[in-house]
Amino acid sequence: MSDVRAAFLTYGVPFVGSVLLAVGIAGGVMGGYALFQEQTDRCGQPELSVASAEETERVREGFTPAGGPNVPRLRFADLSPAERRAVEAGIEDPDTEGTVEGSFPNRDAFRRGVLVVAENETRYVTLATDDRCPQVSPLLLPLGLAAGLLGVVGVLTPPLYRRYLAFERRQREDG
Amino acid sequence: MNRALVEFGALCALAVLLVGFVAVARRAGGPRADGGYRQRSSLLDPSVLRAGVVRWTTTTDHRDVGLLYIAFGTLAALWGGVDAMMMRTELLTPAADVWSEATYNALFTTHGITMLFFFVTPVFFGIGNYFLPLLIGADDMAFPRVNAIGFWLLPPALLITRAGLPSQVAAQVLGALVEGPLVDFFAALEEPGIGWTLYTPLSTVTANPQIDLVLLGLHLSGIATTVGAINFVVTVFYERGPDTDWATLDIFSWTMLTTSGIVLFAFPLLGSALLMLLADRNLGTTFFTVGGGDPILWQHLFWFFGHPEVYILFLPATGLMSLILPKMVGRALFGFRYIVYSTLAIGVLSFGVWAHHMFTTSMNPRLSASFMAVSVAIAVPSAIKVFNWITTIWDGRLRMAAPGLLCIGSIGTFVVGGVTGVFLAAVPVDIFYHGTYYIVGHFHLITVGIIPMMMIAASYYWYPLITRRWYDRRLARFQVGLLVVGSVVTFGILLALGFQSLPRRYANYPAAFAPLQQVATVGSYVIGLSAILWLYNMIWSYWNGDPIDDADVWDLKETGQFTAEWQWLEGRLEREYNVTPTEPESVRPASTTDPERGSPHVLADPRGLVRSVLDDTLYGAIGGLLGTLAMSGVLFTAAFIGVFDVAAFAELAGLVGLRESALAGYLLFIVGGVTTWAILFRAIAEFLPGQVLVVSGLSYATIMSTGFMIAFYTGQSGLELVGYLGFVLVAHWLYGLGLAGTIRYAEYRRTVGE
Ligand code: HEM
Ligand SMILES: [Cu+2]
Repeated sequence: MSDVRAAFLTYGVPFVGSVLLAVGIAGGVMGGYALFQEQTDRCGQPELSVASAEETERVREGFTPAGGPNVPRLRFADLSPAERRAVEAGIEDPDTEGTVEGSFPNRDAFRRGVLVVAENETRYVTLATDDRCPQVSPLLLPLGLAAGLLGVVGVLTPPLYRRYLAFERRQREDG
Repeated sequence: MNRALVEFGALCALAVLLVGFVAVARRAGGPRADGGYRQRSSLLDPSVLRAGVVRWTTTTDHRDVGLLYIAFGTLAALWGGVDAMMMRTELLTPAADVWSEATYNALFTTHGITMLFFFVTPVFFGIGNYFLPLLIGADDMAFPRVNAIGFWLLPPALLITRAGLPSQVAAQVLGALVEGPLVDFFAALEEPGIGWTLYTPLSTVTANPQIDLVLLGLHLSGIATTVGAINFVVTVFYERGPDTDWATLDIFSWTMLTTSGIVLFAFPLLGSALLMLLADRNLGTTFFTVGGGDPILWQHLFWFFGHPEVYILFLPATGLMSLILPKMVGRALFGFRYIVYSTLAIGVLSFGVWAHHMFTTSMNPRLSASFMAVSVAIAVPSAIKVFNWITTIWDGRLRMAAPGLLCIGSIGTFVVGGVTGVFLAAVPVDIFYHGTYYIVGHFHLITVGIIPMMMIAASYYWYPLITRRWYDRRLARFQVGLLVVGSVVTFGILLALGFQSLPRRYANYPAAFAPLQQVATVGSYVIGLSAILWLYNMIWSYWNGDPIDDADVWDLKETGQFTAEWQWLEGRLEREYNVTPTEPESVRPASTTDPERGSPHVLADPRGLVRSVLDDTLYGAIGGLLGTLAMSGVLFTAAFIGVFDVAAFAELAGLVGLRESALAGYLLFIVGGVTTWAILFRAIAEFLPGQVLVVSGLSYATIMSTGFMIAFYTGQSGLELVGYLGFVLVAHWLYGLGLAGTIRYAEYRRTVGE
């Protein structure tokens, strides 16, 4: 076997195979995830972060003599039921976060951050995460799988080739 | 997506895979044709199991403790690596839609903490524990029991620090069954998203109780590290053998000594700062709060520990480089003494530069100038090391073994990582790049570009010493190639993203950066694959590698570099030969597994191919048919996915004057594949003497595929085009394989039949 071909088969082909495998994992993960995501509607569930009353007070007072930033207010009663539930969950939750499961009309307001006034208490509420659904080409999954398969073949080329050579040698010896 | 369950599942899969693989490797390493026979009792035998557990949990032998450290660090690296892979997966899309923003924050926090505290230091301490006593001629570490305790503090520290994941999983599993305070308790512990630097005020106001556990876990790991460091210092000072004095102390021991010294001054500071933070969170103190304390104070304390910590991680890696590189080039380390001085200089200077992490936070400009000066100055000792390494290589005969290749690759990545760091030490540059991916690229070129690389180099270099077997050397070279290429691609791209000022630590980014981010992610998957190949090699070879037949595996005697640890191995082998002469003089396996040596050189007799025109045509046709059918399978898969248009067949039919139907075109395609192209191949292949027929077939098919690509192109673009080209190429390869394979096989049958 010539040196170049030996190096090519031992390192070159498996290398390309590994890269393909890595590309395939990337494509497959994204493509497969997009597919899966559409079926389980887990995406599109944003989370709100609700500051405690004291923390809110601190934000409002601000750290400078001029006082804190001017943050718009929303009344608790004006929120959609899902938003209300999320704010309540955020107050209860030790991690101060609540998930909005349902209509989210005040999304933009929450993205910027608002003071929610409920039962004489004011709480600063922001959008913590906006778990959007991924938009990817449907080709990604099959192409990813194909690239991964091809990559596996590439990685396995050296042993396969060695087997093949053994086969040819046997043929020569037999013949 | 539910991060806790996914990560937990990935870890479980990894564990199952690992255990299964160990079992397979053990079994495969049974009786061997070469006589390397080993009797082994079943692992599942309770008495054997108990004996094993007792042995490994109570051992105080420095080599055992070293292996425990290494195993622990490797597991932590896998865990932190899963975090890294998940992070990079999130970054495949510009929007935070694979995991959520909160999960991404948790991931970079746990990734950083796990890698820095539970991967690097334990592994280096493990290597130190195993080899430092051998190198300095000590019987054991100075305090063997303290040594074992130092190790056994680490697993609980890791579990406390990362309790968020198991407790989230517990909450979800329990929550699916019952409701109640227990579920709430578990649900309350969540992996925090505050970064490994735990910056106040975020880390004081976030109400997640897991943060307290992280602080306690880090504190515990700090105690463990300090205990280990004390042991190293005392060992080097008081346990040196008769032949080792300060002048002959080897370079790796010097770096471990310096590292331990830094640990002794840095980690107590971390411990104090962590306790202050804990008190702020739980006892109402105000060290770091806005009223009464100062959030910036935390940063000063943290980085006064943090910058030396960087060198705690990095110095042992340079020690390994200085130790292994000379062996690989057959030349003594150039400027040994200057390397030692530079190591000590780094140890001292590392405490004087912390504020360069805070140029953008708050600082008197005059002060920042002096910090800048010291930070640039600390680059000098590092540069001295690099120059000495390069000079050592110069004119040497580099051995193309895996450790040697790692040294070369690592010097390359380290130079880029170091130079980018010097730029960062300059205040104006830092102000521009602070908080961008430039930082991430810079420090990963060091944290990946020299630290794991040198660990892996050491694992290969000393593998025969630890296991008395060889690792798979070809696989190792390949793995090294993947690691180096993957690192350069991944972290080079992060630098590029930083040049474009993309901020770090965001799960979302503008869509314009998507292509670069995706390439970086693929690069990181390549790194991940290479890590798995390394693990595979280590485990498989432990039971199945070629046994070594003498202690001079690296031909070190030839160049007078047969150092203490190898002499120890030689003595041990000798003793064991006397006691149990089970290992024969030569245990080289049959050369068939090693194509470089006596490898099968294949040149079939070309005359055999030309036996009978009729036969040839027949076999050509059968091969062509098989090939075309295989090709059709691929093409129809492609059509099913939507990257190949069957209408192209109809056009083909129209082209030769048939009815424009896909079926007619397809039949025509098969006929062509069976006759024209097959016969053409037959004719050409005969003029390629010395080529393996299958290779000729593949080359032929590759060339033919370009024509096909043009002829059957139906206006695909983008991803579709990529898929089209790929599938056509693969389809042709199958055609070539089917064609050549059949001809070859028929040939074989015919010769055998005669
Ligand atoms: C498989 C190779 C690795 C990959 C793909 C990887 C990837 C990443 C990514 C994507 C980030 C987040 C960057 C950001 O958004 O700011 C990160 C952060 C980090 N990585 Fe790695 N990493 C790898 C190995 C390592 C190693 C070996 C270490 C340490 C020895 C390390 C230490 C860190 C640290 C300290 C951070 C900063 C965490 C923070 O921002 O708080 N990484 N890494
Ligand atoms: Cu620093």
